[in-house]
Amino acid sequence: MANQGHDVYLLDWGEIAEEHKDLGFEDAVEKILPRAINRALALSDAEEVTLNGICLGGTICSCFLALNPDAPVRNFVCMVAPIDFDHGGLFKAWLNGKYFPTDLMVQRYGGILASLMGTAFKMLRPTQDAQAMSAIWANMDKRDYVTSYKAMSKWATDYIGMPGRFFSQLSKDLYANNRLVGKQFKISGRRVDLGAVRQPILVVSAGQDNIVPPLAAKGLMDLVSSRDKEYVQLPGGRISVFSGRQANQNLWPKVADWLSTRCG
Amino acid sequence: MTTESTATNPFKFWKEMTQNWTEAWTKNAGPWPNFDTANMFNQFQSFNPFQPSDPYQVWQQVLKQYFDSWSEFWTKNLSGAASPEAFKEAQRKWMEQLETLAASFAQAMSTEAYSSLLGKTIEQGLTWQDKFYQAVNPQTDAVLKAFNLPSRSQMDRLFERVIGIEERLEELEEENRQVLQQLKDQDKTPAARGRARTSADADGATA
Repeated sequence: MANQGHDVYLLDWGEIAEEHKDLGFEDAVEKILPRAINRALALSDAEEVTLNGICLGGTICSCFLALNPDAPVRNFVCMVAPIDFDHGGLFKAWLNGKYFPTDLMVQRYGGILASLMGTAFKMLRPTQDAQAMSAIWANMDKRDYVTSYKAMSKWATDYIGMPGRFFSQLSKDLYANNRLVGKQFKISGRRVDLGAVRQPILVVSAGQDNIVPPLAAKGLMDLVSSRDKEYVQLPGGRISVFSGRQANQNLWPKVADWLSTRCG
Repeated sequence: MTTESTATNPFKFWKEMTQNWTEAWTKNAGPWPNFDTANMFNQFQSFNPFQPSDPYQVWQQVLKQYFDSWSEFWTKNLSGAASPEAFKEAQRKWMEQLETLAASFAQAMSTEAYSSLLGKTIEQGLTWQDKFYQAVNPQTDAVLKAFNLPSRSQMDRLFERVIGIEERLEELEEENRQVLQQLKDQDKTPAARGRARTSADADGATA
């Protein structure tokens, strides 16, 4: 994107530890994201930005746009972001409100430790490590494959934690009760109605995504009021959709093409 | 060896194992005896529910069984005919088996019974941890205090304070940015430009 002339500003989770236990959707939606947008506008001297939210970043961006219809955001690209949590896959089943001790876990750890996140992601597909090893065995003579595998493997297993309050909202309000779709999700007492989102929007999902199945991401399409909206389901798994060689062939050209007619 | 049979056996193995562990958990996480602090670490070593509570351990054992079956498959079918074609065929079958196994796991783990099992396992683990740390923390804190070192809770409070300061700093920066922006906007208004011109004229007259 940067090579195509866009000023790109990144915002990531950072290192989450026990002292961040009180951070919730409120902080992300009302403080962190608006500040980041203001900073990007000041640095670029632009009047509007295009928001590109990946995974929960997309959920956060959706909430932000719903609560701030006048925000200086011209376009919204929402990638593999869970919105309709009724289609949330195995996490939906595991975070069942009847059984999962969310409060106890938050109380004990102040959030979800990075190691627990790792265990949870590995549990989604217990055979993944064996499959990855088998694939590298089969492709060990291909230098590009091995280099790419090493880079992706390091990144994909570098898990980070989640603040307690944020996890509690995610687990109880979103996964267990799907309040975002039901327009019952509240941030600082304000109801989040995704119908207030009017920006041109591009929703992307991955066909083999087992963390955010396509239907969970696609849900945003039916909820926003945007007239200009497009949904794309790309082949492949979650990570390969937005990073690596496949992403450079499929996703990023698509995003660049979509933006080209919508950015001044 | 068919894909069906190799996929089913580990699944049964896994199912039985998790059932057994849940039973053991339910028994162990019942009314908890008071900690004998003098003998605490022996107790900890003799019964460590964290190890079986980590569901990933279950998968690893299943995978181990799979690797064993792969080894057997290799010995029986390929060791005498290690041609590149035979090797590729074996690899293809192996990947098929893993795919079938992954589907079996996904199916089993999406059931309410599994959610209940997982929830109960985590709850029991956390309860056990709570009791353990309640017993251990005062002693740890006493040791740290003796060495003039801060306790974990003191460090947490310190970090929270740092985060509070960071937060305040961010707010000040934002307020500062808004004030600067307002001043910039005021400078752009015709009245402000007029004032600036008058001021410049006056300066010129004085000079």
